[in-house]
Amino acid sequence: MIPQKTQKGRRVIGLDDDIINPKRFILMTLLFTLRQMTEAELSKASRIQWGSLSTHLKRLEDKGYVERKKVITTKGPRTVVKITEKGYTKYLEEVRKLKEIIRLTESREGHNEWESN
Amino acid sequence: MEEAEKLADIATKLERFRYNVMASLMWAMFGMVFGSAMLFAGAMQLIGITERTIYPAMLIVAGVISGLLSTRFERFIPLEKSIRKRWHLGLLLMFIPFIISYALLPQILILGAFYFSIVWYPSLGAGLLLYGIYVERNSQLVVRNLTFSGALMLLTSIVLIPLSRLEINDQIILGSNLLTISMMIAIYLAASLRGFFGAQKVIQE
Repeated sequence: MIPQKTQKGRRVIGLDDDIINPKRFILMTLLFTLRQMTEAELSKASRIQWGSLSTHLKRLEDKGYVERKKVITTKGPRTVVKITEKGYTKYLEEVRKLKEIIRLTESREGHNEWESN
Repeated sequence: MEEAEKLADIATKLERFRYNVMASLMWAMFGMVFGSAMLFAGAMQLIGITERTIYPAMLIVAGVISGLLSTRFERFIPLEKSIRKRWHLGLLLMFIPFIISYALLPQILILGAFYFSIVWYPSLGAGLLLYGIYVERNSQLVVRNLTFSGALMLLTSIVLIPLSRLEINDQIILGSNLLTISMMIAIYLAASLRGFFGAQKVIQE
């Protein structure tokens, strides 16, 4: 977990960098919605290159947020990526935090505007 | 950060929408599988294949197909422990009325072929009602389809009472069985449509 900066530069503690990274967030969002996808489908849907995809998936896998499994399909061997229960819960947790941060930022901005008026 | 939040908001709504659609379609599929299996067995009897094992055999086939289907559907249940636990444990509740109707009551009462040909229908109704009451509470489902189907099946079971007063023969037994199958399919269809269109509420929230 690392400190994150909001657009206004305020430091907010608590967001998980393993998920709140633009590329990994897209990957987690896709897996959260569809539960499981092949690496090829993930690469196509997220428009992330293979090399980069593999690095990001490895990081998510090491954290236990996703699991990869080699399967034999009619089109040949494929690697299926599946979101885990831990990853699912963590994703929802991070989304809740994101919403809270945005709500706080907006309420502070509103308060500052009110004070300056 | 705002963009990520918007994306996540759509993703969570979509995920919940698909879960609701799955929950509504799942029972229509099971209804079709069991309905066609029972109709197949009935048709075989009318053709002249009167093997007593045909009904249990078709029930096993339908059960296996439904089991395979449910493993595909299960993927769309939220990965939250409490919700998944309810779906799995609730399934046991569904069998209680069947155990009572098929194992306990015949020990106490003398029941005929008519009873055994139609009792699955109110049992299914009671089972779905129990399952629905247990599963659909705090389950992120916007439409309570199991409870709806179960209640409707129990309510429509009343039509079997006047049938039981008739002089029971093979025709009445087969006719009553076909009637219950058709009511089951109609109720599953109504519940599925209700759930399918109701699922849209998730997106509008």
